[in-house]
Amino acid sequence: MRVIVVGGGLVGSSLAEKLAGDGHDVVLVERDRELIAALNDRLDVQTIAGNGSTVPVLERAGIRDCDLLFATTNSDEANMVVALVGSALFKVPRVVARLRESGHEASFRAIAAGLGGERLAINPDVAAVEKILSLMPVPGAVDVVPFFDGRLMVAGFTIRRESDFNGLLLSHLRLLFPATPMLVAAIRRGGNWMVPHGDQEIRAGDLVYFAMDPAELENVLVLLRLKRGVERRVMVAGATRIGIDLARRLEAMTVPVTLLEPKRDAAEAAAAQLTDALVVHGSATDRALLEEEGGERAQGFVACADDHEENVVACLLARQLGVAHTFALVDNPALAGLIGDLGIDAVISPRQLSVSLALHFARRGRVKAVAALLEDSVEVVEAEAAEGSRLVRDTLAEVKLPRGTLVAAVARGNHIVVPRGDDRVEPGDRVLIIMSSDNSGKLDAFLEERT
Amino acid sequence: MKLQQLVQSDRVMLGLTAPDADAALSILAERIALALEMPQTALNKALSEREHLGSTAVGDGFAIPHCKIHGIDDIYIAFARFDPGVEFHAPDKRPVQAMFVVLSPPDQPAAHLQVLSQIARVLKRKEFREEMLRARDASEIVRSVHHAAEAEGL
Repeated sequence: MRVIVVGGGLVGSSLAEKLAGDGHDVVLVERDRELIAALNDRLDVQTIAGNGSTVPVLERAGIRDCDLLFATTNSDEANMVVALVGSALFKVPRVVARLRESGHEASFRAIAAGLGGERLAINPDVAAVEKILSLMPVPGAVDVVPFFDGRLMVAGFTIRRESDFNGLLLSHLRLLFPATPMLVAAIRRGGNWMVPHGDQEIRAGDLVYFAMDPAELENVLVLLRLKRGVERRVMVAGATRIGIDLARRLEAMTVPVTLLEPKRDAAEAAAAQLTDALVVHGSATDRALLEEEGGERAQGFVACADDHEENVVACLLARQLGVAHTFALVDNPALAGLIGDLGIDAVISPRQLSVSLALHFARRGRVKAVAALLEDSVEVVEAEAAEGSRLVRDTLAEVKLPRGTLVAAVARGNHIVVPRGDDRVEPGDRVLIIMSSDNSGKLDAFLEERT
Repeated sequence: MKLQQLVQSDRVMLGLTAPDADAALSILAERIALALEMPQTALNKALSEREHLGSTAVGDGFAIPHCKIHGIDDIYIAFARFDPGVEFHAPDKRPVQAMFVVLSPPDQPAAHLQVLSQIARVLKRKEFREEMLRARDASEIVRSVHHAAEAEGL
């Protein structure tokens, strides 16, 4: 597949890298020559320096034979132009545009309505709010992703010393949960992730991703021995687009909200947009203020300021005060990587979420859902097993999936089973595959129909 | 719910014999039902049904048969030793010589899982397993459980 990515920022460059890794022919267009030079050093991708919203540059990038176009510059307007030029002039069959302003998204849809092909508008801020809201009902989870139409959930938790999982072997999970699927999809210990196997012991400090029946969530939370908030109240720090949108969504769910904003005019503007939320003018890194506002009793604390380092500090402070569940908005992967052991429950990266959504759109086909875990080193993929594909040709042990790749669960009709090596995947089954991200390009070969 | 409080000397059965897993569960159900004054058939059925979902043997000659059952107010643990060991479909294929039997009231699912987890964890200790197989009487069993549970931080 020929892929053009316009915009070499964090989102564009990681998309280009992943799709090139999948074996596609990728061209990255970026106008900043310094950035291009840095990308050339780091990525094994063809780059073109130039303005990607102009026709000659797009032509140089090969837009006439392009199957998939991504518009991921920092400017909504530029992204709209790129996406519309690609759709209207060059009939690119699939186009993705990153648009942060919700008004832009509506305009984009309206203008593109009559054009052929498929388009996806990705709003990183909306994606971040959705992610936070999906995590809220699962206290302590670093991530929660539904699979098999919600019949199986993958949820990651850091194991506390007092947890009943601390010291348990993975093989014991079947003893505790004999009737429902319950397995460990991935473990990170001391910065490295491990392919799970039955003799492995779960230890305090491990980040463990469970794949489980959502009906077992309550039991798993009990075994995790997590702290629960005294009140339902959620504190939101930062009257940013994400902060206000989140506060509004929580209001609609009748969750009490306190919104903290250090700038007076921003606080006032936020107050005008919200009805029930308590808007407080002050800094979330002010300990006395957090205490005064009842931070220690709150169920959740979400730091959504534009300064992501400040988000980390605010969360650590909230955590110290005793807030049960803390979320920090952090885009910088290096910073996110440092946070793992500090006790912040979940790090939300709008950029990373954009990459995941775009990748899902790109890889779609046999693949139904993708989730990236552990700073992207592990992928969980839900896919359909095609008739005649390599996956269904033999028992799982004989299929010889790439190293570090595991068929963790199989959904056949209404049943979800955890397969063993001597089991077979049948055509039409949906499978949950856990693998090292390095292998994602090799998966297609196992899923595709062969004659 | 602490494991060391649940294992008591009047709930220890040593020197049992059974030809197979079904017979072993039936003997356990008979003994425990008598002690708890509950119907033996219901208990036997509940233990067997759980066993059919997947063996409760955890390897190294140990198993943790368990079920939820009406008629008790608190979690009940019995310890039983079989001589010779019983074929129990263990993951390591070894016959099972010793069992912790766990019965829980149906309205305590969380405590039930916590106790199972605690037993599974103490059974990873080689020294504890050896003590449990070697112990000559109920008081030695109880003492070993106390030591192991404390060493495991329970």
